[in-house]
Amino acid sequence: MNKKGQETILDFTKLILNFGIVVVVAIFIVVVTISFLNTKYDLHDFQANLLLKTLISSENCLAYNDGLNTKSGIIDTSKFSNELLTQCYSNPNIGYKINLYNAENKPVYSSSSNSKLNDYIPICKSLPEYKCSIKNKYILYYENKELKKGILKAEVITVA
Amino acid sequence: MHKKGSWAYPLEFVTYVGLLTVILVIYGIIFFGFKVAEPDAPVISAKDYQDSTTLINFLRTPTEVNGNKMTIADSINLFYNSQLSEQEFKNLISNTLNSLPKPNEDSNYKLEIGKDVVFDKSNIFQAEKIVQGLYFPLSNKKIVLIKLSLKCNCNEEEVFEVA
Repeated sequence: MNKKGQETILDFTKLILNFGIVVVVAIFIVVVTISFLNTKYDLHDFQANLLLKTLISSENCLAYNDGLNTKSGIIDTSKFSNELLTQCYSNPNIGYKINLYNAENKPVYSSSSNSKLNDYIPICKSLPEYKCSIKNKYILYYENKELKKGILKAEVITVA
Repeated sequence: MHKKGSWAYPLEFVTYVGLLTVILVIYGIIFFGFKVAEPDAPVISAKDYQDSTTLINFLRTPTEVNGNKMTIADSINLFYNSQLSEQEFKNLISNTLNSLPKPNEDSNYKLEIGKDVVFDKSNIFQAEKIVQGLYFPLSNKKIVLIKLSLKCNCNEEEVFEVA
């Protein structure tokens, strides 16, 4: 074999090796990227927080309106109804029950969304496809035109 | 060593390829085998989206001072204008702090009003978990920073319950 032939083989070998390296690294990067893109995020905490914030802040939910302004964090107890709650916040992947406790820690009002998921709340821990949590929020509420302090307890279930 | 163009160059190159393969295999095992960089389900922490609603509601809580109905915010104003005794003010604040939901029995809320007035029953082993703050304007045109924090030895799940 002459010198030119030897150089051609050398260049070809080098080309194949370089190509091999590029392919191996590219495959590695693609696999890692796909792995990250397929990661599932646990949104239960986020959904539960969003629900509670909406309930106590939105006039369409439980927030009190004095005729001029909506008072975020102050509950209008006349709004405790399953229909109103379902209209204000419902989603096929979320169910919830709320209880309002007074200063003496006694339940005074309760309501829930019209979701079939609510039936699973008592046995939620044994069902891996659902995730549940309880949230307690310090709120104020109007009862007989008097402002009182209380705790809004929300039991939330979401599809995991 | 073997220069580019020499006969041994591809052989030396093969060792580099081998080294690269070994490195990729090791990283592959760490990444996929032990799932070091790939948690099962990342969680958005409750701390990331907390607001000051608990503190705002605390300040709006109705109370009674000398037969007059007012809010905790009004009582702070009275205290700073020397129209409310320190003992009475402390009782008012302590009672209302006890109304806030706690993750467990050992948890305590710490309230700081400005730099001088601090309500804190916690011990040094309790970590500060939730911190809410706001600037509160007084009637004497001064402004005080009010900070409410939860101090407890509790996990993220327990903090989430009251966040």
